[in-house]
Amino acid sequence: MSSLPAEPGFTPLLETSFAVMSSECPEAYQRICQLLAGDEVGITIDAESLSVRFEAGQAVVLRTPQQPTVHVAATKQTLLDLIDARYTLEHAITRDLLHVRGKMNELIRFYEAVQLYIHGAVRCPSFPDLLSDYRYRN
Amino acid sequence: MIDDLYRTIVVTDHFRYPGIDHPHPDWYKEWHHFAIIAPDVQLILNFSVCRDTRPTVPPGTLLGRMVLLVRDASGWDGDVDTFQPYEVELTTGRIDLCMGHNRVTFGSDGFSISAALENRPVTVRLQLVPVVYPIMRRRTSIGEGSISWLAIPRLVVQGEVTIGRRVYRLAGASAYHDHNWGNWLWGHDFSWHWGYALPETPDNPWSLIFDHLMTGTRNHRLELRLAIWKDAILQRLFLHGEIETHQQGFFQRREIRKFPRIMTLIAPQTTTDVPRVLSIHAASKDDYLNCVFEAQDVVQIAIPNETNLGVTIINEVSGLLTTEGRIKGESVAIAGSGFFEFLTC
Repeated sequence: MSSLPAEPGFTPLLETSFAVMSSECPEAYQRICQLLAGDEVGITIDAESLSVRFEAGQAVVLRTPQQPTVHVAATKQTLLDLIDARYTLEHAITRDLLHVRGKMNELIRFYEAVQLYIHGAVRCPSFPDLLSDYRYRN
Repeated sequence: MIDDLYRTIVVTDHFRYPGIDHPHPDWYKEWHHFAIIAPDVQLILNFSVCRDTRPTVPPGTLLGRMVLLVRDASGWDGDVDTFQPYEVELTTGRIDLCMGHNRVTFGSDGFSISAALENRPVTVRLQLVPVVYPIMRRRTSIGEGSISWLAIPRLVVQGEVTIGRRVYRLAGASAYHDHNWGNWLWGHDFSWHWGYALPETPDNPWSLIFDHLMTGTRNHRLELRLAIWKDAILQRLFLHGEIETHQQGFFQRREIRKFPRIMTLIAPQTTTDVPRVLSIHAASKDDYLNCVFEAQDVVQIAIPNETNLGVTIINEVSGLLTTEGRIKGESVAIAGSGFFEFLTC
């Protein structure tokens, strides 16, 4: 079983979640890395900024973004609302709750990668505890 | 409860884990499923276990999952809670399962269920007394595995369902129960249509269950049965060639609730292949039944496939089932609410 993030926040959650997924659902993890190989995705959740650089077979979380080509920004509450199906992805984007920026082909690839990430997440037995920890900390 | 019925359930409905020797012990799954139909609230409750295949856990470790869905005038609410191995206590050979603070047990006063969701304000405390003998079927092949099942078409419920600030007291509501176990993977080549109905008037003695197991493309039948009970006793079991089914139209909703809720992000579609009307005609010698199920509402349980990154959708469809016919020289007439499950692979 995985260890839980030692500190609150989105960055350790994402780091741990990739480590868990590579072990518990390697198919999804490898497909994400393959799809986004060479890309860097910048993420801002509330005041926390990070990025993920995808290399051959590996997702590397960077605490200081370098040159992301796709940018995503939302609040923790928006993430939880999407996970809890309080509204749809389309609603979040059109109501400015979720901001995405990038070239169209990069955004399409990123959307496919997000779908793969969720497919992987729901197959990992360790994910519910990770999410619960993120949900109830702070 | 009748002593003999109690003893029958004790020896047939107990947890089987780890089941028979099977070339794929990691495919093992087992669940106890309950559905309750009261005038102002409906409830689906499923306690399931499966093998935890993470490389770091000891072989034979179980993961737990509880589906608790409720429907009242406000629509569907509920959730799917998951439980780590240290939260799951299952007693093989008995009907006794704990998942966190949730529990299902069985005694001379019937099934006792106590459950509360982690992230939704839904709690239940229920006592379900079987009033009908179960039917059981062992090792039907599905995909590359097999499934066994037991079903009790009618139980009488006492208890309380709380949804937020709304409290429903159940006194004599009707319920259905089944128990499935076996070794298979979600995503294997199978699907099913499975349904039952509970008469609106409790003094109506008839209860029935329909099951139709098929390949995933639904063009090859694996099992087809229609069973009818009068009072506690199974009166007639129609099989395979004695049964014809016919579907009309597709059931449409503007919005369909999905559980676990996160599955809405990867299976957002609101179209279904659920029939608007399912007709079942069964006949053998002088016995016959004509059943018509009309869909009224649907909620979806989305299960990640284990064979690929696809999803299997269990459409839990509530509706009205009307049945007329003749069994052993007696007229049959049932009009009542029921659930049908339609799997979309």
